[in-house]
Parts: sequence; C-alpha cells; structure tokens
Amino acid sequence: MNQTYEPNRPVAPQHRNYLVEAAGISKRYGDVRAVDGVSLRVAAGEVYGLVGPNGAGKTTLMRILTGLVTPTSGTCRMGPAVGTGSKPRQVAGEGEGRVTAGSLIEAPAFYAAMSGSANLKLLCDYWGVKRVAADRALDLVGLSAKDRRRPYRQYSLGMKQRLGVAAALIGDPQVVVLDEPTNGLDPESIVGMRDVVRELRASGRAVLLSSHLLSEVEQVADRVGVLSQGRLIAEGTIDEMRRRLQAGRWVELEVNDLAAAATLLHDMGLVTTAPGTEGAADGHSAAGTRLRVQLTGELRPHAVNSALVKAGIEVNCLVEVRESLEDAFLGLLAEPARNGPATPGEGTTA
Amino acid sequence: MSAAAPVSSGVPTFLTGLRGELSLMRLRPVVWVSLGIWAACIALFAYLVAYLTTVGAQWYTPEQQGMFVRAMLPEGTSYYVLASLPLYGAPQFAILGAILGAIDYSSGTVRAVVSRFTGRAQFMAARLTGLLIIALAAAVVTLLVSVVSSVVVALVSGNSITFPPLSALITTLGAAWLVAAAFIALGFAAGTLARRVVLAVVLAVVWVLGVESLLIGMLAPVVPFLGVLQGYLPVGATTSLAASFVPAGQQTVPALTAATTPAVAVAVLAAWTALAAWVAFRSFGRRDLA
Repeated sequence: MNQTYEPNRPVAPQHRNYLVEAAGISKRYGDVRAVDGVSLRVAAGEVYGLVGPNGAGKTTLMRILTGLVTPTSGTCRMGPAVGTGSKPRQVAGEGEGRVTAGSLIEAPAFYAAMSGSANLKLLCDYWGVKRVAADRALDLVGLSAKDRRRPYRQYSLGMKQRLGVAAALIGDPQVVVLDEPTNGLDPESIVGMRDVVRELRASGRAVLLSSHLLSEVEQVADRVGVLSQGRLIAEGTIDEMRRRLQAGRWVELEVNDLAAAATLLHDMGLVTTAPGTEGAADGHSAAGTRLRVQLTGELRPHAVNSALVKAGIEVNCLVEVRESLEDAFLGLLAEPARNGPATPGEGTTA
Repeated sequence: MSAAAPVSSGVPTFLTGLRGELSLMRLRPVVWVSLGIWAACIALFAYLVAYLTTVGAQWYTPEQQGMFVRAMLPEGTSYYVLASLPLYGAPQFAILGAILGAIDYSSGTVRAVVSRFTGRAQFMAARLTGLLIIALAAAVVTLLVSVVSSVVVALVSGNSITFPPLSALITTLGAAWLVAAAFIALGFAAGTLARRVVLAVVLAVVWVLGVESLLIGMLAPVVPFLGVLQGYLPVGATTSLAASFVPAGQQTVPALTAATTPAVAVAVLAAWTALAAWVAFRSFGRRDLA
C-alpha cells in the first residue's frame, strides 16, 4: 500500500499491489444476468474506469465489490473482505494489511433533517474515525462552511453529490469506489472532482469509478473496462482501447483532386471516408474536396501529406483528428460479434 | 476541490458501530417522540384518568376505591405501572422497533454505513445492542413517570409518600426492560424483514393488537387451547409477568390475568427477544442491500 504511482514507469502486472480483485463475478436476478462472469483488478495508485450504458451492470458490480450485494458466483476481494458464492468471508486479519474502502454507489443517502457536517460526523462514529476527518473530507470536495451546516434536505443535487463523495473519502480509505461521481456537478466542480481523483491516485489509492460521461473517464482513468449486458467486453488503457478498436487517429484533408487522392491513399492501404460518413463501408463521397484518412500503425500525418504532394495533389488543409473514447465505445457496443468477455489484465479486448 | 490530506483510517468494529448507533439514537426524533408518548400515556391513562374515574365513579364501593387509589400511591410503584405494559406499552414499543428496523432501508442510509464494515454481523450486533439500551431508557422513563405521578396522587389524595424498597423498584425496572426489549426487538425484526416503515408498523400493530390482544385475548376464555397458548405469546407473557408483581388481594386498572407462571413468562419474553434478534441477523446478513 506504500506504492507510489509513477505514470512514466509502468509496473509489471505480476508485481502490482492489487487492492481490488474480482474473479468470475456473476449475479442473477431470476433469468436476468445483471453481472456475467466479470473479472477485474485495480492496483494501488491506479484509476480504473468502468463504462457502459444504463443497465450494463456497473452499479450491481460495485455493490458486489463493496459487500452490499452477494454474488451468485465468483470471488471478489476489496481490502479484507472476500465473497465466495453466497458466503462472503473475511480473510485478512490483523497484520495482513487491512484495507478500508470508501464508496459512493448510486445516489447519496443521508439523514434529511441533519446537516451535511452532522451526517459525516455520524459516519465517523460508525466507522471508528476521528470526527475531524469529516471536516477534512468536506474541505476536499469544497463544500462551504455555510452549506455544510444546512440540513441535508435543503441541498441541491450537486451538493448532495459532493457530500456523498466526501463520505467516501472519510478516513482516507485505500480503495475508493465512485459510481457516477460527477453526476449533478457543475463544470467547475467536475474539474475539481477530477483533481480529487488524480490526487487519490497520486497518493497510492486504488480508485474504481463509473460514469456515463466517457470523456470524464477518459481524462482520469489509467485503464477502462467496458460493461455491456453484464459482461466485461473490453478492458485496457485508453490508447489500447482506441488501437484495438481501430478507432484511434484520423487526418482530415482538403485537396484539389479528391478522386486522385482517394485512389493514391487506397493504393497505400489506407481507409478513407468522407467527413461525417466514417461508419460507412469503404467509402467516401466523391462530392466536395474533403477526405478523412485513418492512420494505422506508426503512420504520421506528414507522411500522408508528403505522399499526396509528391503525386502532384495540392493539399490545402490537413488536420489530425483523435477519435474520443466515446466514439470507440459506441462502436464497440454496436458490434455484438466482438463482445466476448474480457479477462483481467492489461489491454484486453475480445 | 483540492488535494487530499491523509487522515488515519478507522476500522469499523462492533464498538464503533455501537457508538454510531447511540449517536444516531440521540438524533432520531422518533425515539424521543415515542418515549414522550409513552410517558404521556402512563401519566394520562394509568394515573390521571384512572384516579379521576376511581374517585368519581358511582359504581365502586369505598373499599374498591381505596384499593385502586392505594395502587396509584408511591407504595404501588413496584407493580402498578407494569399493568400499562400489555395494553399500550407493547404496541408502542413494537411500533418503535418497526420504525427503527425499516427506516434506514427506506432512506438508503444503511447501505452507506454498512459498506465499510467487514462483516454485517458486527453492525447488526451493534444495532441490537443499541435497541437494548433504548429499551432500558424506556424502562427508566416508565419508572420515573410512575414515581412522579404517584407522588402527585399522594399529594392530591392526602396520603403519605412511602416508596417500596429499592430492590423492588430495581426488579420492576428489570421487568419493564425485558418487556420493552422484547417488543422493540419484535418490531425491529418485522422492520428488517419488511424494509418498509408502513408495512412494518402495520405488521407490528396487527400482531400485537389485532391477533394477540383482541383475537386470542377475547377467544381464550372460550377456547382452552388459546388460553394455554396465550402464556407463550409476548403479550400473554407480559400480562403474566405484570400480574406476578401485584400483591395478593390487590387489583390494578386494568385488571391483569396471569396465563402462566412468572418464571415461564420471563423465559418466554427472553425467547421471543432472542428469536427476533436471530431473525434480524439472518435477514440482514443474507439479503442484498440494493
């Protein structure tokens, strides 16, 4: 747990200090498989982003990891608790490195008549943490002194969310699970929340967060897991995800001879499309003078430019376009044939 | 939002859970309101209304009036107030337990608290211990209101103020605690099972008032089996326990009829308390907190 996150020095998977481990977790509700054979690991000093559409099983998986829901099968460990089938048991005793986990899962839940501060101090009592930790957690999420004295029932959605995140951070837990942490926050607070997550990572905490805002996950997560219909269909770093989904880099060109450019690039083995028709099979619009070219491997934009200029094609404009994770994610969900379960580890897509 | 400043992590245990429970109980209006209503019921019905009815009613003989008033004096505090437990103490305690058992599911707060406990048993043990402490508070309130009310009755009726021995009062306190604990625990188990306040309260009220007090209570004189069964049910055992405190030749308002011996009554109430705790443990430990 004393490991410090160093983004430029990747740690080999077998040597990483995993604070969250799930293996083959499934949860059935009757015939519905809310979670289906999910395995994942989150190391100390790592932010793992869980993305997926509504009903994908993100919240259920987080509830299983935090012990609120018993898995139908599979094992999980987050800190000292291990769940095996229907009989969760504790494996880590004194001296084995107890790990505390803070979580905000789904909507924050507090006592409506009590102030935000009183609610957190109550949680401190329950969890055996000094009450000063409540004030520090509230400082972290930027809830003003005036607001923290107001009854919870008077809180706005954003204030409730901040209080929920503050509760998850009480006592400086080594694992933090945040389900849609930016839900209801204003843009300034969203930036602040990203800073909190980054600071948690920098201090060696394992962070598991989910979001519908894929751009949000993209900005803070070291690795991403994509859940669809309860299954982890892809997992890897942001760059790995883009690369494996073949959805990484494009250049958008404006040329004087569209047909000649398309033929040349096709001969180079590149995929070209007209802007706005990226999903179309092999195709670009003959109309207009703009063209999109997908960059593969180590191909750089200037190499495309050089090839066109050498062929006597005038390039008026060249812009590199990086497809967002959101686009890659939507593309992945739209291709059920590729949706096999991923196994835990670095850079897995099926 | 700014950088994290480490604060030492705590490890939730039974004791930290109990501390949290006690902090929460102090802040819960339902606890104070419930104890307040219970105190008001004792003062109003067991003393004020009973005294006015006794001294004002034409149908009592002077001997009966003297006997009833004597029970309301300080010397009767070791038994008189216990007669209130089966009639309106039991349903109130059961309702309090039902609310405490279900309310945190409705609000979702139980999920937030439990998520950091390594085992649910520790948390549930802390909750149940907290309920025993609330039951003790209810027993203390019972005795205190009885003492104060009996002194008022003595002053108004011109009688001397003589309290029973302390040991007798402590025994009365113990009996009130056992009864309060049993019904709070039963209500709590209903709340843990139902997870909805209204449903849990309805379950508690229907059982205590509808099934035990009205149905079985009214049919027991004509159906011998029900008469025997009564002694093994919570309200019947409470009535039997309270009746065992009444001195021979003395009567209370309302009158108490023992269905079983005091020892059996104590065992029955303890058994129902243990059963309720077991049900709460099992239900809470096995079901998802979704």
